[in-house]
Amino acid sequence: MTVHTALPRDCDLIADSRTDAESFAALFDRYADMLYRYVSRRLGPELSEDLVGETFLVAFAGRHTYNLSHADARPWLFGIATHLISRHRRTEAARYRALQRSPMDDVVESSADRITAGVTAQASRPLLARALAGLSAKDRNVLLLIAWGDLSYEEAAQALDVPVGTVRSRLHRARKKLRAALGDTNPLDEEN
Amino acid sequence: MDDLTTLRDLGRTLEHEPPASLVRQRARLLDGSRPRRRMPRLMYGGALLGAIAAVTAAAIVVPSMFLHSNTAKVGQGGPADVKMSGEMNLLVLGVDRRAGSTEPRKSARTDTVMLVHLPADRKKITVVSLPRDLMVRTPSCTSSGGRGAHLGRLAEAFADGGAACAEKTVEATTGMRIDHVVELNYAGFKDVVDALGGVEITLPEAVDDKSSGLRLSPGRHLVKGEGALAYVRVRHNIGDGSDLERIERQQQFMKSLLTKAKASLTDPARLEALVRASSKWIKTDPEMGPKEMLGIARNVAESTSTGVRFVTVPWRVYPPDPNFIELRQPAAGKLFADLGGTSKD
Repeated sequence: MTVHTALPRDCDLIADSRTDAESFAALFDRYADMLYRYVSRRLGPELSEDLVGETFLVAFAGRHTYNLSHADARPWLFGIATHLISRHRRTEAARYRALQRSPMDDVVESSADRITAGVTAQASRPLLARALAGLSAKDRNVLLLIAWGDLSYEEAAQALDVPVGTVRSRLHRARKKLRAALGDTNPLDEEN
Repeated sequence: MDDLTTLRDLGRTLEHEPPASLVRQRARLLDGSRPRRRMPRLMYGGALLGAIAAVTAAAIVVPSMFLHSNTAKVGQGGPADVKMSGEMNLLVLGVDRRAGSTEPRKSARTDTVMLVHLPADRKKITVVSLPRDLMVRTPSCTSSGGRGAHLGRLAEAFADGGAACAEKTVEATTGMRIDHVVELNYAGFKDVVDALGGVEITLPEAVDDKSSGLRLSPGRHLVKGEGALAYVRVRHNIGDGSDLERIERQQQFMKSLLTKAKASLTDPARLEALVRASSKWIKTDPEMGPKEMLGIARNVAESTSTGVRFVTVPWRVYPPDPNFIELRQPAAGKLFADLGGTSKD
């Protein structure tokens, strides 16, 4: 038996918004927080609020060209956000540089699992930060959409409008650099 | 540990929770979804959006005319300290809220900010355009619903905290005291141009712009209503397509409008019509009602001709982001000092 969810799919909301603009606000309610968290990881909180707003404005302006066969709007929104983030490359680079220098001063949230995560990540933090700063923008976008945005390979490909094969090769290259930075030479980790 | 897992852990430590103020962006979206709005500014990498600027033209003229008087004290029954004589500074905001809208102020936007300086003798009025993409230090506007002190675009001060915040920001930026704030929307702009019987413009080359609907041959034209609005709003397919050049066109338009308005001031019927048209779309302090404005306007009609100087504040590209601009010092400071409380023309 199929359970029909009462919630409209993203693509339905977007289709509705073409005639009733207010429907687009439901998409905001659904994803603004998620996007905010993602952007705040990359750029810090100062720019995030405005960037999330811009993301939805750009998305709204482009709602007529959205491919309605994509039920899930996340790749689309993350793609727009990624594009807007690229305008702040210097801010992002400065953020990673700061992380290399002062490992603890940016830990803001205090929920239990964040602290746990913080402790494990702490030692590797300057190394990772340096590796992230050293990646090409394209490789970094793929890596972070997958690791921090929780997109699949296919979704990342859709977000960036590149073939899935390109996503795989960029991710492969990025992870190789990460592993090198972390000093991990375990050959078993080489694949996957 | 797996590199991706380590990276995810790092991500969690870097993450910030969405603030309550994020909802403002939702309001921004809804505001942007109303008809007549355009693509967001970022898409065009510069000064685009809601080019209501038009309004400004009339915005400047009418208050300048109405206040061009040293006969003082019109606000009878108003607060005792209403300042109508002496040196005066007006902040004029072109706002893209439509007439009769009940939307909360926060959802309105301005892309035209002008400072009108009237010296005590009213002989030489100066109108300073402040481009909306000017990066300025915005003081704390939390009392009017805005953000705390921060560095941001001038237009954002209004979007976040309304006219009160725009006023504070401009005062902080220029060091000039603002006596009155005039907000206007473009819906009524057409009425004013029509009440004046149209305004004459001169085009160096033909214009055919679909987004604003403006199609004109080179040479002189008498524009009215929609056409006038399109002319002052158009930014594409004309000149270099910049906000700054549009400001120049608006300033030209204002001069022409001013000439026209001055002529009307000697015609009582015209004047009544003009004031009626403007009072619908100009929102001023409570101290300045239509009656007061008409009273001053009549005085203006009797006075001699006025010199009005239009300038754009000295600016340069904002180094961290070439889409924005900042004040060029010391020239900007000098301009403000010249217009400031201590100097008299």
